[in-house]
Amino acid sequence: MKILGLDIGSRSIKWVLYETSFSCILEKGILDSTPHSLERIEEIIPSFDKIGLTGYGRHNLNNVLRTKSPKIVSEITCHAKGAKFIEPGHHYLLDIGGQDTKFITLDASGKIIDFKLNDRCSAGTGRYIENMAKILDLEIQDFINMAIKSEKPSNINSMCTVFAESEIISLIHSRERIEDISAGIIKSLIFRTKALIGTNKIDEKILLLGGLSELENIEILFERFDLEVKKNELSRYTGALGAALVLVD
Amino acid sequence: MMDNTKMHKSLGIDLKAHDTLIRALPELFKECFLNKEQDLKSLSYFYSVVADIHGTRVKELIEHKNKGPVIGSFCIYVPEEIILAIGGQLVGLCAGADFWVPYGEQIVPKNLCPLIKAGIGAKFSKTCPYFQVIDLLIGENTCDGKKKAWEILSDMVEMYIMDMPNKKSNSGLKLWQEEVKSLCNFLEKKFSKPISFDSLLKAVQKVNAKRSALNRLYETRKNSPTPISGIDTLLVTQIGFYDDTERYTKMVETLAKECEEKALSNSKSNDKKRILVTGSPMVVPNWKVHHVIETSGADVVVEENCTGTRYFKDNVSIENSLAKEDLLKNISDRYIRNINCACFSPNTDREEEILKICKDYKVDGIVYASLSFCTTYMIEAEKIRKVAKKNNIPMITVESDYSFSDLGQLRTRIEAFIENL
Repeated sequence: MKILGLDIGSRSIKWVLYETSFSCILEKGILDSTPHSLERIEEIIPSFDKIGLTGYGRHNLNNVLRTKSPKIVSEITCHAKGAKFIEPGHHYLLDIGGQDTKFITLDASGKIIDFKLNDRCSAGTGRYIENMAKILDLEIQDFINMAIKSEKPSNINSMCTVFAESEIISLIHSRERIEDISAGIIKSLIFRTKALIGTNKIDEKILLLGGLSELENIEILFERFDLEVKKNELSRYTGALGAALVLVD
Repeated sequence: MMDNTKMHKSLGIDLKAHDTLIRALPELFKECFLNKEQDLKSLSYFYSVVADIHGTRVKELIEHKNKGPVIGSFCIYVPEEIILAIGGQLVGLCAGADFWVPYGEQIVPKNLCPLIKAGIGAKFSKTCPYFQVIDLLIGENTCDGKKKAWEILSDMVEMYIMDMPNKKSNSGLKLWQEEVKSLCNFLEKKFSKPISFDSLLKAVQKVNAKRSALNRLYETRKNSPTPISGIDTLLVTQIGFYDDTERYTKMVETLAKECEEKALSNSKSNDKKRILVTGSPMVVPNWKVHHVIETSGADVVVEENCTGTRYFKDNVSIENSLAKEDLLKNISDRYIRNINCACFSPNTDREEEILKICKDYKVDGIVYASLSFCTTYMIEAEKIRKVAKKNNIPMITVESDYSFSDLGQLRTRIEAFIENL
């Protein structure tokens, strides 16, 4: 049986087509959360026998896909299920998404023990990094490559995305090096993440999920600021995969 | 619904702003109450009170002013018995809608809890008929925000303020006894009406009956499945702060009876998770957290907060009361000993109370809902979390205001919490 998992995020829509008889992923895909792709969603996704929805748009898209009687599950449960499938035995999951950051703790069997989310402020999310790269006039991967070169990351103190933007602009005006500003932005993201996790260091590696995990060398930057993370090539799809897996008996 | 325009005009209400406020209510009311399955006939009374929340009851209060004062409050520490004993009516004032928050923010800082901002905004915007009707507002120093807010409100409305102890020590108890006595003296003088032993005793009995009725209703929620939804019970409790005490008591009794019968005849079982909601008070029309929980597949079976069990759980003793002073002492004892407000330090009684409630109501998980910037409740969450964890009761803390901008985030957290119970 083919099960489609759909993760409707604030920045992108991820889908995974899972085949139960082989316990494997047949196809996967990703598209931007634009009005255009949302309207065409039924044409874009492959045909399926059952469907599970997760992500911020899960309730809204439920109205569109109601005739297919989708199962709706929160992204926290889905990430846990998906992560257990791709990296069994990982106890900590960090999902840095478009507008929120989630930190999930699992027990040995993959059951959720605890989870934490950022408050409604977007500082420290993927969107924050995207916006900041834009101010520096850099593509997101170039921004990471730049940050890696820095030996003296700048300090960015603002807790608020909009104020951080003005802080960065004044750093640019005071001729601070772009690589240092870039590294400073990543540093502020990681410090916020650590505050969310509630500890300075974790004895085990964290599995990084979400859009940030697709960036090359991002784990090097995390390590530089004392947070060890691991990536998996399916990191971006754990939500969608989990949405499919909840429908597997 | 009758046309209230003339009455509102006479109260000095800003009619245009008030229209905007009232127009927003039906949508919210429909979403939270009318769009769900409902088989309790006795609830229609409570629905009708909310549907006409700025109408009939306001009219009654205006009429009452010929006989006695109408007194407003924001807190369950203000002893209703004494107000009734001087022939007054006590009403909970408007403080539960996002509509008033921007008005409040014109005068007080943004990083205050929405309840205080909305309360001040409701008066400042002249859109709360209850605020316009009252002869006096009784404030209480239960938190820093309120304490300072009274100074601002006293420019707009006549106020009397009760001081609160921070500790339930002997001296704390004494302070409160004095405060209750002083309130009594003040009201007698102000409204030139002595409070007799008989009038106070009658008032105590009336309020005790109201509490017992609510107790009886909450008892039925111990059944599995619960005969009444959490959001409906919340609404019923909220109306207790507005309605005529005796009529309300009768209506709650009728509802409790219907719930008892429903629970007895209920053959349908359900495996819905049973949730305790605790934390800051939820004032009309703040139904957000209950709505999210109950549309995510769980039942709220009890609330440990000021718009829940704290409001009614213990009665004022009338045993061995021979004089007015005895009753006043019993009144002050009931309020200070049994209400576990986070303004007290330490507040360990609340930890025990929550554990007891979890056991009595067979609770599967706790949703600790604090209003944003409600410092005392937000800080106390950590203590409760530890106690809950030690007793293997899952708990989630959520912090939210009256706006709907965080509904998505709130739903994600609560759905995930329920899925994992």
